[in-house]
Amino acid sequence: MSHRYRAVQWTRHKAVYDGVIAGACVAFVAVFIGIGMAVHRPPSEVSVPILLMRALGTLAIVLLHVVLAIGPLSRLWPRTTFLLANRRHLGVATFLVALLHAAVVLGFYGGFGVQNPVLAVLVRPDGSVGFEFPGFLALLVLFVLAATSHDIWLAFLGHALWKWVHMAAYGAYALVVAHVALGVLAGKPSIFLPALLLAGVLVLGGLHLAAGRRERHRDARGPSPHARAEDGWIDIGDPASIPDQRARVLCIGGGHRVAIFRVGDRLTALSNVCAHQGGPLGEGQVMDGCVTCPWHGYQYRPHDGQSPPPYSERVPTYELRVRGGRVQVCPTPNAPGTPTTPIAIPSPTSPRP
Amino acid sequence: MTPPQPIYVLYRPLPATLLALVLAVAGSLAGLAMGVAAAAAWGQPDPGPGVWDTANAATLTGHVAAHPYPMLLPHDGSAGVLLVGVGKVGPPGAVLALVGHGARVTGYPLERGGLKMLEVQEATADHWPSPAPGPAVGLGVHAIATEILDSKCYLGAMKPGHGPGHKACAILCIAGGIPPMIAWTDAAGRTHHALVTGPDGGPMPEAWRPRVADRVVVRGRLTSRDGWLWMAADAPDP
Ligand code: FES
Repeated sequence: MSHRYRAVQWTRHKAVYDGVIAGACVAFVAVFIGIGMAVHRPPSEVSVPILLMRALGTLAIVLLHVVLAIGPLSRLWPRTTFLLANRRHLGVATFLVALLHAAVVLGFYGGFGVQNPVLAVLVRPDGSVGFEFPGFLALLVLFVLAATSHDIWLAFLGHALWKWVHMAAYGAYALVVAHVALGVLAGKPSIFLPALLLAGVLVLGGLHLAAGRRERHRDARGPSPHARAEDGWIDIGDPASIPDQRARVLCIGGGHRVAIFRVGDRLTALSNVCAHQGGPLGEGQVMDGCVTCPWHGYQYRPHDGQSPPPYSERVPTYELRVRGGRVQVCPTPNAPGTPTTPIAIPSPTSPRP
Repeated sequence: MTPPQPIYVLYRPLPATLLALVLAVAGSLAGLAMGVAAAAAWGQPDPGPGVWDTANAATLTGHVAAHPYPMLLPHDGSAGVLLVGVGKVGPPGAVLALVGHGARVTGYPLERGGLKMLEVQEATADHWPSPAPGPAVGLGVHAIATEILDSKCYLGAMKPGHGPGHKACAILCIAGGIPPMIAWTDAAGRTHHALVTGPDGGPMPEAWRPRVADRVVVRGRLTSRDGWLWMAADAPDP
């Protein structure tokens, strides 16, 4: 449901989710340190602060991979859309883990000396910077993303700009890869570490390419030329094959998508783009009589695209009509929140207007 | 037509038909993450055999020398023991005041490959007769491909105490007065270590500091004295 601004609108689900994430993070660090101590035994043991530093750094990278993989995964396998719920909590967790990593680095590599720890780690005696600097920049980006993850910022910046700002997560990822490649990998570790990082880059890149291809393919398809009436209205295909309380998404050209929803024997059409973060409304479901976005559950009335009171979000609606026993949609959207009249699914025997 | 799967919405109970998938995905992600943790922890490079015994303080007696790095020359004639302070600093003023005199020094020992260091907690004058200065044996001019290390971390204070990941720490240590050293392996596979001084026997040239922990070639006169090798390094090539 759309928002009223509070720091976090806690629900039992969010509490469970955050508890699981925190528990998994602690388990990750414990496994890393436990195996690190068991494998590297005295006198060739790794110092515990360095084990902690490495465990936290590795964990931050793993979390960043998961955060960035969720988007394309949910595009490729819509059943995994549930992963999008609370993704921002995972993003904030990534920042906090990276911050802890940085704190341990500053404490042990930058501390106990005759210089400011931050400068000691970031700036070389000749004024140049080392592999720590991209890591520091990545931390700054993650901070900005965590700080602006709240819906207050989304409302303030608007969903397009907010989304654009949050694309900086990919910049943070590139900086992290540079940080690890220049620092850890230059230290000639075993083949494990470069192989792990390369696998992460390839999996993430592969998922994004596959998801991008699929979306481009869908957009490029558009309506077939036969589906367009002379006045430009577009045939929506067989309406009876749309499952009840669900939608069919139609690419109407120009990268625009319309979601044709069926409620009983009635059809309505809304923009496929959620007013919250641009989620795919057509992959949602009608619940409590409202179209419900699969990403975070914002709701819109099917006939006018307005969130039910007291909420105020709106999406554009589209007109539908029946011609020659076929249902057609007008390719020009109405202003967000414009009421439309749901149309009845024509039966194969209904008179042709 | 098969009915589509219900969607999951944050503020509603999880549909029963999704529970198995949620558990499977969460379990796989957690398993994968733990696998990465295990592999990354396993794959860490060997940090070397340095030992820093912070549980057992040792007391040593001998003569304090500084060539230019403060070192205790034990009265029994064994190899010199480098003296450093707590943290990334050289030894405290009490040690410096004893240069050229007999001393009793207590601290936490560090050792790697027979090279010894003491992190000094306490130093007092002692009246052992000064040993005759050890003979300095010239070993000629050498160009050694190596990495400049801070001796305290390398001998066991930080493990690993070398490599590019440790660069900032090594620079900070050397700036604070920890003696710089180099380590290299000869054709027979033996590892050698030498403390690095300037060409005149003073502290290492400042110009080397940004290049600490990098792969470099250090050129200079190699000398053996007090159980240590000393490299009187020329300034780095620009
Ligand atoms: S509810 Fe967040 S994008 Fe739709």
